[in-house]
Amino acid sequence: MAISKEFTVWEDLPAEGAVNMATDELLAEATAATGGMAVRLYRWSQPTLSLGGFQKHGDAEPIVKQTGLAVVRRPSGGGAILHGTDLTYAVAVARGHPLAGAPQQLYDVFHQAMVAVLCEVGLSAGLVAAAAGNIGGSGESAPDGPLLCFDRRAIGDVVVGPHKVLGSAQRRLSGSILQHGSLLVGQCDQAGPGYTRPGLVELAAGTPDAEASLVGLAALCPPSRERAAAASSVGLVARWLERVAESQGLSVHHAGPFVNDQMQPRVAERAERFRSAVWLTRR
Amino acid sequence: MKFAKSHEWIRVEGEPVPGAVATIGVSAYAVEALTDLVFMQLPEVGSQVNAGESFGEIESVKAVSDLYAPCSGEVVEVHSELPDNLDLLGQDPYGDGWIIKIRLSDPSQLDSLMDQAAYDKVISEGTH
Repeated sequence: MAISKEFTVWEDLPAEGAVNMATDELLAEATAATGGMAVRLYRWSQPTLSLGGFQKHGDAEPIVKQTGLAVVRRPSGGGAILHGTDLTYAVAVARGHPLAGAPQQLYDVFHQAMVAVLCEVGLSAGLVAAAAGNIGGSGESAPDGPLLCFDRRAIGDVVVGPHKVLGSAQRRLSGSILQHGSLLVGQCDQAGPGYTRPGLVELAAGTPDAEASLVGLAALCPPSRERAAAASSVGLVARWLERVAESQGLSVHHAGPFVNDQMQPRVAERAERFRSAVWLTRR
Repeated sequence: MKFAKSHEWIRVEGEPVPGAVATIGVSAYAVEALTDLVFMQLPEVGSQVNAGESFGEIESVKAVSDLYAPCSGEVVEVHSELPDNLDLLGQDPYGDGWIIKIRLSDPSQLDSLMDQAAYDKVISEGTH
């Protein structure tokens, strides 16, 4: 299969968790069939806690009971993410793609590009170079480590100072690799004071260039259908995608919404699995 | 021993005839690439696995990978100690790191798998 020279960028309206997960899985399947690399940028129609593929549902019950957050389980690994003021991405590469080898390759491409654009606007961003330990002290490979992704530290995570702002996790399927990532744009307050973590907006305070560059992105958080402007058109995100594309010798192709009229029934059908108790409480 | 593109290996005990027992594991390359394995989910004895379909999952620090059956058959034995001792996968991937044993239902499926030399070539070319 010839590998496409286009880096396809899809962007959908904010949606509920099960719909987002179903759409990502279909994106991975479509990419397996067509080859190349495609990314979907999206947000969430309500504040949602997404669990990693193997996390214990019971571990999330306290936060869910306390906050009333919607909850969904991702197909990808990693820790739980509070979605509300973040920008989520799902990238898919076909097996056979140069980035489908070791997991770290795909993480690094997206994370290094983000570090570069954050540094351009004056933030002291970097990658976690070694297993630096999680907040709470557990080792990064502990299966029962911190519940939240942004309290975990794995090699290659994007940090600003000590604060993690971008983490990613993968599902490695037979025909493609699906990588989820969450860029913490603003502090998420919906879960209460015990769960707030500073986002880029808070970390940019006092850094004029960074503050200015985040205005457009922050305006989209929390998301709503009325303010569903394309995040990919915001300067910082656009530069991030361009850097990713440049690093791979690709050109960015903005393709609009992935969930079109033709795709809608398939997404709805697939979303039922992600809504089911069997999937949600599988562990 | 034969290999699937998805990095599982299969080894048949005796002649590859219907009903023969075959052992399945994952290649050293795959284990090394995943790094820091933390959790594994395996099938039940007596369940059916189908060639090319997922029979279990393995989680590394930040990636969940499906395990795909190289051939179809009934699961006759599961390496039940493995989830509690995932280091075995890296220490001895073709021996003590075995994952399941199945009773082959269609040995002809072995013909579509790679031998060691072909698998090594795929790995070295990075076309996996």
